[in-house]
Amino acid sequence: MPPKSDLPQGTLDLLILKVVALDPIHGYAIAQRLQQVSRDVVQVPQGSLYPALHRLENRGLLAADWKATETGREAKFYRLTRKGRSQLEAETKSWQRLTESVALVLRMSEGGAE
Amino acid sequence: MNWWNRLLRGRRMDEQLDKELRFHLDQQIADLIGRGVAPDEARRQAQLAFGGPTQVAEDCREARGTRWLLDMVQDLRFGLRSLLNKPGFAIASVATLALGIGANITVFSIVYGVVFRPLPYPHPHEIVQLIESSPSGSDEKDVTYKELQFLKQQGSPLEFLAGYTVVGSNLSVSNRTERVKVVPVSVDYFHVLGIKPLLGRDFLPEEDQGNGAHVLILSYERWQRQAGADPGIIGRTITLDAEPYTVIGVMPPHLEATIDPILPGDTDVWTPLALVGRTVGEGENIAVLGRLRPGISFAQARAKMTEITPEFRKVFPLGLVPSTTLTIQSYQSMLSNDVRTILLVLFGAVGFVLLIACANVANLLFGRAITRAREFAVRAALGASRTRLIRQQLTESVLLSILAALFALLLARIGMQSLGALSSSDLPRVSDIRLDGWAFAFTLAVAVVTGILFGLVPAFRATSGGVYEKLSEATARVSGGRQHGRFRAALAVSEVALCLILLTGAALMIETFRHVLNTDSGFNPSHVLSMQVWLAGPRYDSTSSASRYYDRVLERIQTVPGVQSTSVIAAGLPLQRGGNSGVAFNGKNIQQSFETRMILPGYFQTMVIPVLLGRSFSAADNEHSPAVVVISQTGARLLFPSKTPIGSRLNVFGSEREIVGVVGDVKSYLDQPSQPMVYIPLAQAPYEALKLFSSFFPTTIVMRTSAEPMALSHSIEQQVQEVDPSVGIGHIRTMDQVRSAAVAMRQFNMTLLSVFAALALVLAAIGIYGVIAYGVNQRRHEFGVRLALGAKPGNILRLVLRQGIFLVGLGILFGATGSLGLTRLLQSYLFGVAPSDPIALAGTTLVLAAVATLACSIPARRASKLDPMAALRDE
Repeated sequence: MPPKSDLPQGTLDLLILKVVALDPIHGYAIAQRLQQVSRDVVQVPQGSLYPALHRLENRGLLAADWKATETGREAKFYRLTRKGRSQLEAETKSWQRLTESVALVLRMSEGGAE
Repeated sequence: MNWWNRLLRGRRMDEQLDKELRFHLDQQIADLIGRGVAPDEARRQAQLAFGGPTQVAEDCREARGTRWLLDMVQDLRFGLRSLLNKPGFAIASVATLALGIGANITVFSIVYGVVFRPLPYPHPHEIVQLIESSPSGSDEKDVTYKELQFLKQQGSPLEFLAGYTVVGSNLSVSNRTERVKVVPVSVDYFHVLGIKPLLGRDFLPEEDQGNGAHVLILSYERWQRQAGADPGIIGRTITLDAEPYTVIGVMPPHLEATIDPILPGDTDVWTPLALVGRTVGEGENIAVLGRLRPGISFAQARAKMTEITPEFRKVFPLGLVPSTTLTIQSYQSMLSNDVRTILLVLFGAVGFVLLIACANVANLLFGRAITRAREFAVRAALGASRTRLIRQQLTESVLLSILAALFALLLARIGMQSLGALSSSDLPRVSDIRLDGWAFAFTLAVAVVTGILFGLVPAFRATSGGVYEKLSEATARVSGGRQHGRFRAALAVSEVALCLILLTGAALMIETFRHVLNTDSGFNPSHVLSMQVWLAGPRYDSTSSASRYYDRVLERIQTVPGVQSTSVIAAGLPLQRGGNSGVAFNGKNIQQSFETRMILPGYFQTMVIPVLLGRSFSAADNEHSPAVVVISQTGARLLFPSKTPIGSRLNVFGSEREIVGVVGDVKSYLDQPSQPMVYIPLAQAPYEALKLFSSFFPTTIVMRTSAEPMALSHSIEQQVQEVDPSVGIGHIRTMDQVRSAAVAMRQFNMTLLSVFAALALVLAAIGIYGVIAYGVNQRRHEFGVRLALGAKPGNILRLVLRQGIFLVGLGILFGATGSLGLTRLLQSYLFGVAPSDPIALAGTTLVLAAVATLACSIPARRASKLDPMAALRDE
């Protein structure tokens, strides 16, 4: 099992937005999905998942409805609002820019070390 | 959902949150069971992974952004409940703070109204007054009519420049004559102030030329009173000083602009300045106001005005003292020029009182915080953060101070009513003093700041240290420890220090007041009645007609039973501002101008002013007899240092007069040296001089009575009315009242400072008592052990007293240092006593030490009478 990493500050919001963007989904499923997709590397502390969801909801990036799950129980399903979608695009872009430039710097210093 | 919805639907949101989190846990457990985990183990694992559900729910609630408000409401409810639990503590704190804050609101209202409230004109900061500044300071510059004309042509940095002066006139309506305050103004006066008339128009340039037109503008208040608010007044004729004037306008209400010490109160009538240009305007009697041109800064205007100085000096060589320059100052600051420093000193003093009150309440809170240490420890153990605990305590203390502020507003209302009676006409802008929005804002700010000030340290201290220590400490009922003791000691020391500074300031003011009161004014004020009379109109257009009138009035007054002697003085009464004129001797002008009075025979006798040499005036000194003059002792010393002045000749009002007598000095100001003075018989005064002086200064009938003087005022007034009802009667006062009025401002300052100092003394005594009593309570166990081991009650008494006296001594040390520095601010208000007067400082130190020791001795005696068994069993 690969070592687990802590999430950099602010990335949890981005990941949540990305997961929710696919289709309406409840909190538990978001946690499961994050874990699966990241191949267990990203361990979302469940304690911080819900405050983050509520924060995003209060900022109007997410909206929520109570719907029945396949097992028949009522759950709170989150979906992306239009504002959330543009926020996701903007953050995705800035994240890519950041990682690319970090990667660039890292490659350069490898070259320098040789 | 927006913030408001989140705030209002908190409960529903909580339910949904609970449901959501439960769903998560159940789902996780179901998954784990599905993977073959035993149900109990599954529940355990799921909970482990999730963390504390309460904490998560708390974090989610935090995310709503409504938390702080809900917390505050909770804190307020809790605070109110805990205050109600301890009503004694609540009442003591609220009462202490209410006194402190109430005194502050009162003084704030005065300081704000007199010094800082913007004048009620558009862009008031653009209004400036002409001043002359010299290396030794600056003062209002009054000019002659000609100088004003010159400035008007030069006044480039000013958009408008206007002169004004203040005179009294008789306004007659039907059969009644009233003395009113008339302000003759240049045509631009209202443009300077930026005020338009409510009705009619203001002055036209042609009305302020030559001898001036007979037109006038009424004040709103005068219009209401005299004309019954009739708008048809415009264009009608009103009789002013027995001459007809056309009313051209009415000004809006509350337009008090000029503060005049002789004629206090609001302006009644404005007339063109040109009317008095040739009389009043001959002397430097015109004050100059201007409005800055838009786009020109105050500094630029100032510089330009200074540039005019050489030209001004060239044209008017006598108009300006060599070392001074013309410049400008904001009109607002000029209005409060004389009282600003003392008001700010009073404001500082009352701030000290509040600090002492805060220290007392901090001390009380401290005691409470320690008894509540267990409560805080338990709450901390249950997960309350330190910030949260501190915030809750601060909410409580701010709640206390806001409650106090509400009572303080009540106290301030009462305070301002009693001050209204105290304040004298010397206080400018009295009508601008009121409890208003600014006072409320100030109160709120003071309440919040003081709440935080006295609550912060106890709150920090009560929540410092580990939870475990706190819990065990609280259980063991051990004292707050050395640190707490030090903080309390510091509170006591600063209270003593602040109190000493206030006491010393008050002592200096009291001492000053005593010196002023004991100053010999040069006459005997008891049993003397004074009555101002104002002659005007064609009936009194010569000296002989005026003096015939006075003779007739005096004859009538003589017949009133109880009147022993009576006379008349024109151009000012003793202890009031009066007229000056240049006097020449041996054909040369004397450098110093002389106070000049015109009197009727019997004046010196009535006022009991000693005739030191020669004789006083008699009825034989009239317009047909040789001109004579009597000079005061100071005048005689100035002119004739080595020989007798009797028989020498002095030029007064342009004619040679023989000196026939020397009389004792009479003071115009109690706290200033006597000025040289000349008296001439009123019957021999040139009419122009009599008229000029009478427009500024009252002519007063004085009467020495055998009975209480005020009791005769009515019958005397009747006699005067009967001689000529067109003559205006002004103030009727005993000379004792005149003397009191002369020291009213001093009395006001002294009383306020003394009240604050007394308040500070009481509060500081309570504070010291509180600190020592608390210390004794903490050391009950120790004292019990000492007594059980054989210590005598006297030893315990000394032990406690020594601690108290040490604190008081330290406070006195700091206080004495502080007062040596701060009392210097009072310098210019002191008379007959130095700011560092050792007797004042020593006396107040003694008083304070005695009171403080008394405050310490109560708990000390209690400690010495402890029953050792009871004290030990208490543990």
